[in-house]
Amino acid sequence: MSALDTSPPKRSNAFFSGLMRLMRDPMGAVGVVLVTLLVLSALFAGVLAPFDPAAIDVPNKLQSPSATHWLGTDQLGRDVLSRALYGGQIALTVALVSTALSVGIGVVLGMVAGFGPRWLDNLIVLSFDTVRAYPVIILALAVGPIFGAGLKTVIGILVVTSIPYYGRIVRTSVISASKADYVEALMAMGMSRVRIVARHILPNIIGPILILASMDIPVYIAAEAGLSFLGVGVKPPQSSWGLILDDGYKFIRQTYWLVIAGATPLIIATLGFTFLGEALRDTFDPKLREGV
Amino acid sequence: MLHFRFTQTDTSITGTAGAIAAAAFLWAAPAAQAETLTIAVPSDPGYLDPAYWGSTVDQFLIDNLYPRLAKPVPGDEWKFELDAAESVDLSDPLKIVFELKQGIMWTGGYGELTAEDVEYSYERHIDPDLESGIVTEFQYLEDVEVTGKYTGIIHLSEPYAPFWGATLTFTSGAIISKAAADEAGGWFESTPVATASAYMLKEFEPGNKLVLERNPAWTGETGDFDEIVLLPIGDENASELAFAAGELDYTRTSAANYETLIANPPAGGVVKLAQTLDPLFLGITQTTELLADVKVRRAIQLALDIPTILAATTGGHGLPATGFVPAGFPGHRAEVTLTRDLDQARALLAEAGAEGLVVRLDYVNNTTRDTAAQIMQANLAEAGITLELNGQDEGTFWSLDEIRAADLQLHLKAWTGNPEGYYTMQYFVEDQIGYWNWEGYANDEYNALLAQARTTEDDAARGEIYKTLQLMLEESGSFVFVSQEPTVILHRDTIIPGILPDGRPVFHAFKKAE
Amino acid sequence: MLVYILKRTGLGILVLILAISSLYVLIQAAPGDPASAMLGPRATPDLKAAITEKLGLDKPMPVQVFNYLISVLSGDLGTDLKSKQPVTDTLAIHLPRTIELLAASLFVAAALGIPLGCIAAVRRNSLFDRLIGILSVSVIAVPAVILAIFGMLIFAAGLGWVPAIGAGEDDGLLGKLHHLILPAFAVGIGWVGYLARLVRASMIEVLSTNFIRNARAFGLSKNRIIYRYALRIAIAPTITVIGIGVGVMMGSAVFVEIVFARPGIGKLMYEAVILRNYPVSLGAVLAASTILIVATTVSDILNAIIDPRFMETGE
Repeated sequence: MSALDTSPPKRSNAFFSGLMRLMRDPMGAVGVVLVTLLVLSALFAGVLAPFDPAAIDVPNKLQSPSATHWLGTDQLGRDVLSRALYGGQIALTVALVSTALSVGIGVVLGMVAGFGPRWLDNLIVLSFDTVRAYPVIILALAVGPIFGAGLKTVIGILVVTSIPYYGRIVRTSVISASKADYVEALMAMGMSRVRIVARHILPNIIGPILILASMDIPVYIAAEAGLSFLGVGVKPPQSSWGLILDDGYKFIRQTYWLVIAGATPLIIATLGFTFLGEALRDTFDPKLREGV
Repeated sequence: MLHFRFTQTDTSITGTAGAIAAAAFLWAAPAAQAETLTIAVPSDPGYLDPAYWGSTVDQFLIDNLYPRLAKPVPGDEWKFELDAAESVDLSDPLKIVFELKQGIMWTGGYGELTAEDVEYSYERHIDPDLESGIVTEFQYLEDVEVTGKYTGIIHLSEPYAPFWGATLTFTSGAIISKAAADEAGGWFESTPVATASAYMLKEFEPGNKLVLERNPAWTGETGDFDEIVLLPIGDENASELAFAAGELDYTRTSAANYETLIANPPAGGVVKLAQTLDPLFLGITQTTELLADVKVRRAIQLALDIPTILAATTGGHGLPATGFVPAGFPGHRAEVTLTRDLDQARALLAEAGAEGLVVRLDYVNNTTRDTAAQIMQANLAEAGITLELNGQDEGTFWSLDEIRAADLQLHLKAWTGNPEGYYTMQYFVEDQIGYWNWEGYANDEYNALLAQARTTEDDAARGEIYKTLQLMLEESGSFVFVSQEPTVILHRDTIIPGILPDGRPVFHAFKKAE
Repeated sequence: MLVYILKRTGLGILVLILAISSLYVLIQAAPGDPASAMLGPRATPDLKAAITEKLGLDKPMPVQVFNYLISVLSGDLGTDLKSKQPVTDTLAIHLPRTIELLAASLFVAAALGIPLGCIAAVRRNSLFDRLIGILSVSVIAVPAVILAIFGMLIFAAGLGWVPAIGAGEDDGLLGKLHHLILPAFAVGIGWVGYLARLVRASMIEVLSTNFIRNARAFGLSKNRIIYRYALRIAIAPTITVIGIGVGVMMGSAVFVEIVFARPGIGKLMYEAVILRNYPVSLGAVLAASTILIVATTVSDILNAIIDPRFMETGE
């Protein structure tokens, strides 16, 4: 491995050439644009939001969109645009933290299962199967209140229920990779198992795993909104698209703007990430398509 | 604006979607059957034993299923008529002499309603083993003397002016069947053992529906409907939606929606505003360590912006509450005495060393209360207090076990109102801690004044005592009076509902419109 | 094959036992005392001790778990704290409604997804094919809660074509179906695209096999080949994805049941959670997990029957 391989200019070239390949796919282009917009709006919510998302102004409640309030106001007179922007922060936080944690833990457990002793493999696989036996939303409803509704609980439930998904894929890849001739040769040469996994197997599987993970981001975003809608997710005074949607549903006879304001960013986010994930997969690893 | 039958301007939506869907849906929504009355209620009943009634659903089911000696009449003004009693003599402050009507039959073959049932129904509340939730209302009951099959005398140990008006003719005065209750072991929960009224329980699927049917043995006044279906829909707005979709005949909804409803009523719907007697108030539990310091409680009182809460939750139709006595009754305080003062609230918190206080607010989880709770959260945040919101189902909110009793902090609640201030204020005594005195208020001076009010026959004099009592409660820091709750009633124009002046339904008085 | 089926079934049962046990431990560890919750205002210390003993809540956790499993086996899921009736009675009201909803949703998904996928495969790379491709990806991405709310808003509350609430228990078969249409679409529509893509992929594969090419060579009409032979083979793999789908669909069903105030496991759970009615939560998760495990086990076995290579990896 030469030092040149990791030098910054080349990497950024690789990034841009990858991006260009992605942008050639119309779905990919739409995905990149939507996701970029979303990330920027969430990052700069503090600057972009015209009002404090928690500021109550009852005399101006349930207003339709106007020059002052672009998305109108909710039942407490709070600016819906500001709430939607801050809701984006919550959605992205949940999505990114959940993805990072479940991929991280899933990869480690999957590798341990695939390359470790047989009994440990069985134990891990059995616990994966046990967790997979719970329908996610229903489990979240059941255990959410035990740990107290909130951001941490939402992330915790999403991570625990996603680990088996990545773990099983990694385990299978590790098992098939470990049968490869070169791995057997390395073992014969006396290289340690940990080293083989870390140096030779992991780099081969991490790409596809990351692509699969990117396709799960919309699932996490929808789950957070859904759980907040059900009241076991993010709690007021924090803002979440799910909470806006819930308010909108409750006040649907007074105004339909709230439902639209909660649903639109949610649809943009899930569509954007889905398009991006699909395009990533088709562009960089078309083989994966068969597995889905 | 989008409303539930699309208006002319929305024809584009109707047009396109209509063309696609017309082929797919060959049959229209089934027309509501005239014989069945479908009503939304906020929850399932928790207890249909009068000894434990708590939620509003418990209350109006008990009111509609069991007889009382006398009861209020549906209409716009408070009037009472004899119910199970043929005659009642109230002339002696220590005695209520009654004679029952003959031929009122209990369901389930438990025979005729007799004076023994009255004796049993009232005396059971003072039996300590029953732990009746309404023991306070019966504490001056000496006993019920049975003088004949249909006659008896209710003896009081001390004069108790509000007993007849506030207790016996209200929900707590429900008479149950001795034979049936004995057979059930002396108490029961959500399945009544025997009832005696125009309607009786047909089936109860928790979380789904409760169905009442005509009682064939009933000879008294009865409604036009064969069956009454109660659907538990926790949120007022959800039931409004269901009403707009044509699936309910009658529902209550938030007064905050009154303007929208009047401007654009659902097709075939009639909108009415009723002023309940129910006081909505915030209780602040002083027996909890967090809130033991009166300065902390006063700070919370001063941090709240009640006018804003009223504007958001009642659309300005709620009367600001000045205490526990509704406007127009003896003891009503003319002025709101608490006004928001953030600086003083912060100063009091600092004095008490309670900066960074984190407290929890329990409330019944519906849109109106949730709105109020979120405003309170924002109000208190300005004073540096973090308010955690804990919305609950009505049944859960009102059921108080030891664990919850020990864990009360702030609670936003509406109590069943009563023209008589005594009815509400009698609960803020030490014996009631762990039952209805969630605030943990205990004060000997208050008790003495309360007793004085109980024996004061003169309305004006009693009213003056009530005013002092309310001031004492407020100054304890444990009470914030929010409003006297208004409610909106929505019903089909094909029915004429029987409603008490405060908006509660009386099933036997529901009629079909001509 | 028989060995695999037995092994897979055995694993399914083991997983179910583990899932129930861990959930029991988790829920019992929750704050709150079931005896007080059950007794309500009559919770005197004596009565509470008696109930705690009667429920076996004073025993060590492993014994409690064992006892719970035994009582589950004998069909006893405890008492609904709210209605004071057996949890099995409560589930008996709600579970069939959810199964109806899931079945109807699968029907919607299949009835639309299979033909669409089929047409997309036959007219490969046409505008229609691409449109189906984009639509299917988009519809999967839209959260069920949004589909439910907008469906309710437009078709029930707005146009009044379908009922807005309930499951139509008292309205006979037609009434029930009428109540089912919108919820089934809300849950199933996401899977239309999913199935369409699967059918398209496997159809393309089947159409390129020698068997079909031979059939064509024998002069069978194109339509006959596609619909009589190719489709039949191509549909098989789609049946097996039901296992994956049921878990996600149950999640969607929760939202749909709540938005439409439709009795079912999701609505039951939602209410049980607000009430802290743990026996019902436990029973409902148990029922949902059982459905899921049965579905995955059956789909694994079907997969193995269709493609024996599957047995080795289980992926």
